[in-house]
Amino acid sequence: MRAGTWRCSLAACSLIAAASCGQSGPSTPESGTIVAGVAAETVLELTLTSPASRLYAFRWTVDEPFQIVTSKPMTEVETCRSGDAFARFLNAVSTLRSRGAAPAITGTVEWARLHISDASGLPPVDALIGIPERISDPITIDINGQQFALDLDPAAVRLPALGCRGLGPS
Amino acid sequence: MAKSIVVDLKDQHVTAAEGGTVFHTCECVSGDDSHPTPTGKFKIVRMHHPYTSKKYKVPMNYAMFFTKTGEALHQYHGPAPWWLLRLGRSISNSVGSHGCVRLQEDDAKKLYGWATIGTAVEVR
Repeated sequence: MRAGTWRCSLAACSLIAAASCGQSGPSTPESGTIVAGVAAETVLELTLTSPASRLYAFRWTVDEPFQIVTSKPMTEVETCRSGDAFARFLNAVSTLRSRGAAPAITGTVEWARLHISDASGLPPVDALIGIPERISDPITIDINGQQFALDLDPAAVRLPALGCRGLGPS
Repeated sequence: MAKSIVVDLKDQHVTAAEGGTVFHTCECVSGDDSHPTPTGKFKIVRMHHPYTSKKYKVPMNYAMFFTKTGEALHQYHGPAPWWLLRLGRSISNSVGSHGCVRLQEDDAKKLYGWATIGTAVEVR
């Protein structure tokens, strides 16, 4: 009986040891890997909020243009319909690709919360994006405290800061 | 050329192809008896890596969602080794996921790097 118990215990220990093998912890996604991807043509609602600006864009169906509301501190709220520039911005942020480990950034970074809902019925995409003051510095993303660089069109991601002048019809 | 992924529930096998040319084949473990993986024709609507399930609070990296109810192809992160999971599944359909299609890390990574939003997924 005692030998049988030992054998059972040994088998259980082996199983637990085996279970701990082959599991890998979080690592920076390789350059080019999609960090978050959603079909731009199915997006119904998008917000980009930071201490310096607010963007809210929505539409009721995927066949319509977006209605845009933007605001900055101490300025009038602007509203407009989306234009080609908004489409450029939407295409840029609807597929976020890694650019590898986040390098040290010495300049100022503005952290913005990106929120995208689409027609899929799945929970929204939610991401914290670091937009550096210097356009030559990389844009970063924070997922569960893990930060890495994004391959994101630096000009497109700054369009919301221009309000309807940057996102509305040209 | 259109990309497509076929999940064969009977064989617990995944085949990815583009225009009739097979890109990759691999083992999988699908939903258990109580949470069967939905069958039918779908498209990948979301991709996330890294990713943690909002419902179950567990990692599911290289997630390629193909249903409105949250089923995805993704990396297996469970405590049991893959061979034991596959062995259990070969014995009983009560062993499996909550509806997702689990893949080994290398397979999940390979498929994730190849697939795009809109890639067809057929579960049969």
